[in-house]
Amino acid sequence: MVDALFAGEQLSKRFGGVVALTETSLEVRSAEAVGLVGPNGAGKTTLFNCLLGVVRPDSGSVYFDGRRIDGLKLHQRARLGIGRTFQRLELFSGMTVLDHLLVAKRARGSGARMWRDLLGIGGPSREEMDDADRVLELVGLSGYAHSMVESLSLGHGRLLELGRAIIGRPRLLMLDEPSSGLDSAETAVLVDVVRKVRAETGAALLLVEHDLDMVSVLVDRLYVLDFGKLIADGPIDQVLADEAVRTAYLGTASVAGENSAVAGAEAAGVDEL
Amino acid sequence: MSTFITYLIPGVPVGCVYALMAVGLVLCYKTSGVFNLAFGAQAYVSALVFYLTVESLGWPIWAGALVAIVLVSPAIGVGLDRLLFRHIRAAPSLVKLVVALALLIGIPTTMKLLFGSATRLNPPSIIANANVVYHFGSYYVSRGDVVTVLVTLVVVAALGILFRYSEIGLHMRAAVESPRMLQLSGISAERVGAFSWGLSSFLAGLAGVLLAPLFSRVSSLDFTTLLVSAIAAAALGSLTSLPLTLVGGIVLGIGQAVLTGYLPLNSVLATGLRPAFPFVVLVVLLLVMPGLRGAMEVTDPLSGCDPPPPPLAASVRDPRLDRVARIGFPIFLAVFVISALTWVPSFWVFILTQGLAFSIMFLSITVLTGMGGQISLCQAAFAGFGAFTAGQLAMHLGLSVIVGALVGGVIAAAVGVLVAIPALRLGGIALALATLAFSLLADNVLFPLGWLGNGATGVTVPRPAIGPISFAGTRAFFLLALVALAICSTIVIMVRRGMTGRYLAAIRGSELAASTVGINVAKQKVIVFALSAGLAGVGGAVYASTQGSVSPTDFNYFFSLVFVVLVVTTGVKTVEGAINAGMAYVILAQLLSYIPDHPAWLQRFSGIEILLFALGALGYVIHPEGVVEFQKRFWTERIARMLDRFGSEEGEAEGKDASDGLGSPVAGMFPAVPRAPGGSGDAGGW
Ligand SMILES: Nc1ncnc2c1ncn2[C@@H]1O[C@H](COP(=O)(O)OP(=O)(O)OP(=O)(O)O)[C@@H](O)[C@H]1O
Ligand SMILES: [Mg+2]
Repeated sequence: MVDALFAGEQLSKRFGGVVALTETSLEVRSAEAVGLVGPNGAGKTTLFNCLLGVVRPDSGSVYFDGRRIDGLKLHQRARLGIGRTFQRLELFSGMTVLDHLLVAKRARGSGARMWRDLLGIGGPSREEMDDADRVLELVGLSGYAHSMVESLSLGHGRLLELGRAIIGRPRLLMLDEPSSGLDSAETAVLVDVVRKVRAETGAALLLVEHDLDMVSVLVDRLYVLDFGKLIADGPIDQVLADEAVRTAYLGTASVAGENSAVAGAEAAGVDEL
Repeated sequence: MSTFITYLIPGVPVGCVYALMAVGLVLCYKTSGVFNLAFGAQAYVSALVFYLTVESLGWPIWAGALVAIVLVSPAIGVGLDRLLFRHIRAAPSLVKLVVALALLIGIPTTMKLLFGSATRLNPPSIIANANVVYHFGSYYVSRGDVVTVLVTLVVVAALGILFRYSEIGLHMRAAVESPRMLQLSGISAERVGAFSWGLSSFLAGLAGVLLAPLFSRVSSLDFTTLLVSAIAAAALGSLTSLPLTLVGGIVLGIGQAVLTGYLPLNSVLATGLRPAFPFVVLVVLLLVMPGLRGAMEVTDPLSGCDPPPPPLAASVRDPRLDRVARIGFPIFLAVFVISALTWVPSFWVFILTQGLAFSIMFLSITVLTGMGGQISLCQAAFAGFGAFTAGQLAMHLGLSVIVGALVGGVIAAAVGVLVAIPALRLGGIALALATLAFSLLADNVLFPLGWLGNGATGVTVPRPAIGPISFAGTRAFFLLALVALAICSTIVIMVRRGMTGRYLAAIRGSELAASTVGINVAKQKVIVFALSAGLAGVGGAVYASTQGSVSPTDFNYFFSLVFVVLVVTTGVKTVEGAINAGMAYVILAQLLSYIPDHPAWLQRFSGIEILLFALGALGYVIHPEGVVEFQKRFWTERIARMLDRFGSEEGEAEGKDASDGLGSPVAGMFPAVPRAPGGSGDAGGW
């Protein structure tokens, strides 16, 4: 417990009659990469939201760096050093790509000060611009700096969300199905960016993903969630070999790849609606 | 106890009328997603038509009632649905609200245009022998009251049966979930929608005709009060339950009547709190019932399928036109100022100065609605705080109005913070209603106080002087007001260009994402409210000093509604939108006042500027960016295309380069115009 960077303990959440989470505990240690998988509706996104304070869990507690953070609001938890992306894109509509990064950078830094704006010195500093340029290059969106986000493709949107999550140099990166709706080239860029960022900053990773290939490339340890309950956790190859996991979620090993392709296609279809 | 019951009895029929209207409101809101503030105006139309047919044309009562309640009112409802609301079903709640507001202020003006503005005293009652009194022991009730209560009970019961047992009732309940889904299952959602609009408008008409005899004359303002009472009653019924809405209406009517009975006669509290009572109830309900706020944000689950609104003109601005604007604007400004200081008649300079003052007030809407994405219906009240502060400081402490305007701005900002704290938890329609309630509270309870607005007498606000330079003269004061506007505009532009503007744009784009990157959304909202209220306060003080004296009627809640409609018409996102609104408002009103008194029918056109703006705001249905803003984009694209054609004759390559994406209808989707680094999303306009 003490050595975990981020931990949820005994988290439960119901939505009316739907039990989304039952007494689920999960922890991510410093610099560790952890995966969270499970069938559709298993409660993965709900777990993310409970950990970050987007929804209030019915019971349970959340720790960051050994400190209880249940009382903290969403933005306060973010400022502890947690960057996240969303399963359904949450971009700032009506803003340019560059401004997404500048806003995220500033929000983790000194914040906006109206008196500075009034004096004309509140805009982005040299460093902030450089940082934004660097991140743009990293996620491959340099050519789109001044585009409105509405004009981006889904894949570029996901990369921008990733860029927005990492520009504050988070200690923990939480990605919710980052590859859904992406083609294989875009997924490759995404995996590459995540690896580079982790190598550079040593950020821990909590990854929700249906694409098991991507999971096994990025992650050391895996949790499996089914109907709001954890059914397995441990080193990734061990978990994937587990009989219960295979029947509950993966089917046989040979179908696993197909499954993920189907899940990806479905998600893409939904997102494009 | 017996006095209590004596006070209570007259409250019941009034409460029943509130309930009728409330039921209509809930019905319409649930089936069409429109919180139709225009029901207030529709109730007024019915009362007026009933008066005209019965009193002026001498028709029998049943015929007048038939026309007013069964024909005219439902026809208006169905017409509004057909022409307007059906097309904005999936629009953001802000758009729907603005359209309803435009109708609320536009319909009475239309009536004035059609039927003149003669005072119509003693509205007739729809109930024969309404004044016959029945005695029950020491209590007595009138026949009119009894019939009103019975009619209400019958109507509510009939509605309950309709929903539960009839096919159309079932379809209406389905429409509440998702009209698109209803459509997909092969039922015409439009037909269901039209039916529910007709039905709810019938209820509004019935309420209007029943309520009219309680007042000494037929005036549209009384029906706005009816409207807000109905909203409070609907809130008591959680916006869902018909029986609870009925109870809510009756409780409000009784509460108001009892309050009037017990409060000391003629005190500010008695005259002020009685009309404000439903609003106080409404605000308290909004604050203590979290579920209610959820219920107010109905959206069609399938509404995300619609295309996003078109981009601002600023986003398709052509660099060549920018160059023209950079040269043209200073020339225009110089000509304008020199003209105002020399040959323009001083009366017109006075009018233009009023326009400058309004422009400052309207900047507060640019900040709050355009940048902050919030809608407030109490901006005129904030302006009032600024104006009265400046006046009181000048009267009692002899302070210059320049200092007074600054202090007034700060005080208005402080009031803004007080309003913003509940506003943080509301947002959307609930925020609009809560600020409307604050407006009425200010009108009825705060501004009549001697140390603030000083009631009907008002406060005198002298023109200032800086050292030996006096700004008492019309032209000198014009210059001062211009400087004030320039400073306020600069503040807005700087805030928008800076990080605060980007934060606000981010929050408008997605509150969830904004807080996920670490922005304190609540704090930013308080800041934007304070800035907005402060600007309104400064504008109010400038206006007060222009006029020389102001009274609470200058900052009446009605102006708050008009302000929003005005600025939305001209463009809520840009500073020039606010200035266009300010200038157009005073200039149009002045031009219309030149309409001669004879023949008499011509005089009806004199107050029509409000109607013009209301019509402009209805254009919001098609152009959510504001009509003026749309025209600008349209012409920008058109001129750019002409320049392209012109350019391509000279050099093929250059012309092609310039036309790349610019002239096409989807120009805004692509980065045709490279922006200067550091330009925020919507900072292209000024
Ligand atoms: N806000 C909500 N209101 C009601 N029910 C909800 C809400 N959010 C989630 N649920 C329900 O909780 C359950 C878990 O949903 P969740 O989105 O967490 O699953 P998930 O594992 O992320 O699934 P997916 O792989 O499809 O993203 C589902 O049954 C879902 O319908
Ligand atoms: Mg999910």
